[in-house]
Amino acid sequence: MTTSDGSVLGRTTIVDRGSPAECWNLVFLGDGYTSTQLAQYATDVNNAASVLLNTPPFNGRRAVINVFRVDVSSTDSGADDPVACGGSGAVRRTYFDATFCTNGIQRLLTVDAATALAVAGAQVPEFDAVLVIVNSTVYGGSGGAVGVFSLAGNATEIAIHELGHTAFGLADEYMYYRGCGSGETDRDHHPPVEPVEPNVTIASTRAGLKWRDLILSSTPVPTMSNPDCAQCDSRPSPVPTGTVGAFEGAHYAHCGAYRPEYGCKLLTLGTPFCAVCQRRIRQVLPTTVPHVRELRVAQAVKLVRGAGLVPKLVGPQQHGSWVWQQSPKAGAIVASGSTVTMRLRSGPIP
Amino acid sequence: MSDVGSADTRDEEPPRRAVRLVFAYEGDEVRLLSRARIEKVLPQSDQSADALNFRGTWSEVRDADGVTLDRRVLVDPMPRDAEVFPEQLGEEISREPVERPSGVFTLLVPDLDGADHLAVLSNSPGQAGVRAAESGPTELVRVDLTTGGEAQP
Ligand SMILES: [Zn+2]
Repeated sequence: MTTSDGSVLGRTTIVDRGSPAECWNLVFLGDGYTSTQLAQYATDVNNAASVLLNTPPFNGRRAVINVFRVDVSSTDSGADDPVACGGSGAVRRTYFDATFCTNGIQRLLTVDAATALAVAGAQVPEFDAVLVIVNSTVYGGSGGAVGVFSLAGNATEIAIHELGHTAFGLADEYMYYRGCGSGETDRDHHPPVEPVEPNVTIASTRAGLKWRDLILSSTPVPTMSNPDCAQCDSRPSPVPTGTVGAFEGAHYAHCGAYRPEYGCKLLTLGTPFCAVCQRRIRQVLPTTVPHVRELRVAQAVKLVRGAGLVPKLVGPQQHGSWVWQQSPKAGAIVASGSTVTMRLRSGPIP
Repeated sequence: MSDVGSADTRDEEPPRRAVRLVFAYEGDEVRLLSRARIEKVLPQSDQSADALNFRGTWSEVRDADGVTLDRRVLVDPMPRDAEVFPEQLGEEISREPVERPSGVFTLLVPDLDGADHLAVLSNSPGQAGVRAAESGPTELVRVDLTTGGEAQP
């Protein structure tokens, strides 16, 4: 039930892409694994890390993502499963005190987040996100300062959705609060204030959309409007999957708020992140500086922008200019949006 | 090919020092649990001048004159509800209000020369402890950055 019910055994780097001071660092903790179950825990972490690293846009930024496994043993196996929610009534002595039935909701599986953050900070001071795997096959999970998920099928999707909130500042894109069929009557219209998150907006015109640069001129805006604000709009998409536009119904409101695509992982689990959410994730993750020395300036600028960096040109910018020096050097891991200074020369490339 | 080994310039080294802060909250009370200085390059500041036209919660590192040196948007760090997930992919995710909101959240901010304090601010209508939006953002907690740096009990 507390940290006296187990011990922290240390950390293992399972994906090492470079200095934790420069990379994005994901830390896995485990709860409800006894000391004899830690080999299984290692396998469970590898499986979850693999799902994340194969999810766009993380798959395109593997070069900057470190993954750490912190081994924590618990006295007992599993998690508390109170009868109040129809659970088995199990009470387990585990290090992070995992329990189902938080707030009276069976699937709401939580841990002692303060302890989880303290352990993560002690083991991997540079951590960017913390996920706790709970050794139970009962479906459950939760978000907040640490993402929590069980071993039930698809529960890893909970962790990835929650990373969207905690690590990347993304809003929920669903158009209701308790549910479309919940009978709630206070979700018909979004309040007339612009949410700070990059993936939802109250703007309904092309010029007002935060993601207007991603919308094709042939895509109508709004792309979908909800004809009945008393309900969720459950009609199919009028445009092909992956079309960026403005779809009414988002951020807990049936009307008056828009999401960028018909579908997104911030709307339903098992769906890819939309283009706007993917861009935001790439902007938060570090990036790798491309090699641009001795390239023509146009090609160099394209490569730098493509890596999410800002080109700064110094020297003669004329036909035939080429990059003589670059800073930072090729292969360096830097914050997205950083400047790459390119000193130019003209004439033939030696 | 020229000798490229020494040709890299080193004119724009990003700051590599950061401060991690961990806060606990209960209702609208927020308190610092720990802070630690670490070596880390952070994502760029959310310095957009537009930031204050939005509704949300964010952190600011300020100098002694109150000038903002760094701003970071925080998504609902002290939620008053819990997100509940469906067992079947594609079914509805939902939110359920929590009776007594409490928990923790963590921030990473750059350890800047001239930094005096960190403030967490909110103008989000849903955030506990926030005044009416018309009166400007509410400061939820402030931490002196001129002292300390070790974990505080
Ligand atoms: Zn999205």
